[in-house]
Amino acid sequence: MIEILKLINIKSCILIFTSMLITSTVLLTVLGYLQSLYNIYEVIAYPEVFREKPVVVVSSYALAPFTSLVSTDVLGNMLRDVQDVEYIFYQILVIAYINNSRAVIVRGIEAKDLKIIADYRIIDGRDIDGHCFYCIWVGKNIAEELNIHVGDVIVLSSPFLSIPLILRVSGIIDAGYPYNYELLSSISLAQSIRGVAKGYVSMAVVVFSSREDYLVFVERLGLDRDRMSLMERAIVALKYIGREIRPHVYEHMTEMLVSRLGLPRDIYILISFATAFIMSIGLYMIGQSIATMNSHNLEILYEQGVSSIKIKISLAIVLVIFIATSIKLSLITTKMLSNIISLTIVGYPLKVAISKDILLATSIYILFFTLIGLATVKIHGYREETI
Amino acid sequence: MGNSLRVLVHTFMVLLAIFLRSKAFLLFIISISLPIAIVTVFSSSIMTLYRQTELILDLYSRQTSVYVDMTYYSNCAVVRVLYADIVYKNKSFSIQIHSVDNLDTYKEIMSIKILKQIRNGYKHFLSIGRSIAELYDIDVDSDITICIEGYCINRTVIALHDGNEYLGYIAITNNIDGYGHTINFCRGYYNYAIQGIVEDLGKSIESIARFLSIFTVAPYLIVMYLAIDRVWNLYRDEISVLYNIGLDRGSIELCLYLAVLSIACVGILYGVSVGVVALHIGLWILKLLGIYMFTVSLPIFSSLAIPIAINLLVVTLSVAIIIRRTGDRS
Repeated sequence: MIEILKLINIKSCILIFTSMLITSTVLLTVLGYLQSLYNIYEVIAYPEVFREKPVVVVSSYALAPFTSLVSTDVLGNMLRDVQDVEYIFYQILVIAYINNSRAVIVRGIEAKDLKIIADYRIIDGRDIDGHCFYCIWVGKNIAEELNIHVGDVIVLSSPFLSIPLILRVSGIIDAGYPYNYELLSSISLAQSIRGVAKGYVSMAVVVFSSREDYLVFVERLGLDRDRMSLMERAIVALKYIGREIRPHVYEHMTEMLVSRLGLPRDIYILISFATAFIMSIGLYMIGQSIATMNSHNLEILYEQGVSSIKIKISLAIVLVIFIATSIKLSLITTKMLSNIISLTIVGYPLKVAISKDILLATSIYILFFTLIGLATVKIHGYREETI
Repeated sequence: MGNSLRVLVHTFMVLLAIFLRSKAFLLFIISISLPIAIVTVFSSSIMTLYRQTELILDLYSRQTSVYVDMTYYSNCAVVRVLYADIVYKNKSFSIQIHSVDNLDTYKEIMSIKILKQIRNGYKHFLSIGRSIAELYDIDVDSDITICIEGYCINRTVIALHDGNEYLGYIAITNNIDGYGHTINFCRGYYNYAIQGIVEDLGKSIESIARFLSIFTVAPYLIVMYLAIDRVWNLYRDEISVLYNIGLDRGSIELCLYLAVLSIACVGILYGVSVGVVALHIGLWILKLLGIYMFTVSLPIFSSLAIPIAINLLVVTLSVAIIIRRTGDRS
């Protein structure tokens, strides 16, 4: 085997390894961005701090969190007599147009709740105040981008209102991602921007101290306890049909929104994996190339009596090493690229999100197509007989 | 001259025929057409999204809204927006005040409803929003003190107004100059916020799709080089024959370029067609799932121009590199 490997041209190795590195980097980057785009609502709406707790996010059956509405009275009735609610807070999310320049998300939240979910600090100005009706707080990154300072007046146009709001910047906040890319306001001002009366919010986050109580609550909603016990978390979408409220349960915020559009989440995964499949077909050529680029030497070996299978197994080992190394390196390259490339949506920067599923699927695709390519090469007289 | 041209055409036709008969043709076409097909799907999706957006915006076009403009137009209300501390019955609170020159225009543009008003005859108009009035128990004919940046004046509340929630929390007055910011509120004949948001989202999605489409082409560039290398391997014997019958190297190279580029153009056309068909199949599936797109757009050339140019450039460069490499060897 060592003899076979010694005959492989170093230039062909560099070319093949570079091709694999580029392909796997592009694959991971494209799939990572698609995943990130898919997860954006989840990131905006779901507080990272409660990931490990039994949490129910109550929202309404809407197209996006910015149009969702839920009555706090309805929620109060649902939570009546439920013990062990560790924490409950409300938030309003609304999309608006700032200073005639771009779209922005306004988050209406109380200061104490923001402190728990984001542990923010005030960079300049004063703390969030629920009483000031014309005060707005600006996330650090959006303030830098739009050159906004404390005391500035901003014009906020809401799609739900026929007149724009003139607001004064009262503070610049550093609260981490995603809050640094948003405007933050009191609940009452956000309700006004959203064009709804008091008592309505975009979503309520209910954190339970025990899993048992979480299950009692979901059972009260008329949901299947066994199914719910399998979920890490739940998003309950309330669908109002006349006076009747029907809850629907989803595991992910985006799943709810995509389902509302009529597209199940599986379709999205299918599209991502189909894209990966199409992009991997080129690897078939790369798999063949390790043999075709070294054809003269390999033909000599063949004529000396080394079997075609033995040659291919040796080349396959080289390819597997190349694939493993290129995937490892492409993970680093993808993260570096993600820091350089600035893709944004509603002001939020998109960062590549590579899940274990994506990594596994990408590795399988690359391995499969490369080895299939190698397998189709005929070492003796390959030029006439292979495609 | 005529004879040499005929030889060139014949050489080109021979190379093309060899190419089309070879199995590497399929690989070359795949390496060209697949990335172009993906780019076409991205590009057509963006155009479809735009057309869809235009239709949605058209639905909202009859909905008027107020927007803020820095230049003055005839259908605008000029307002000085300032912040003041109000002192009333030993209570103090902050409020936003709109100081307006033409009260009637302002009321019309902002859709202000006057809930209660005392007789006219006061030199200065002052109206307090309903929400603030209820919160601090202020009624018409109340005397309040307005302090702006340390300068205080006394005024009587002439009216109570209402509008949306925001207007319920502001005060409206006149004849306060030299403070705050001047803003023109103008009535527009479309929903300004929706238009702005949709356009902004469209730009974001377009930049993401454009990035992904150009990025998708990248891994195929090396594959294209490898495919052309395979083609060259197939041509080697035939080119030796062409040399032996007396054709010069330059003519053979030119014919080779033309043959490969012709096939590349066919691959590009094939890729665009596949992309359009794939998009229509995708939209048909969406329709089955209950999502109806009003319009389906064909890709526009400008969005495909960069990926196509990159493809053709790489094909030309690949041929040049391979000819140079093998030429040096021979």
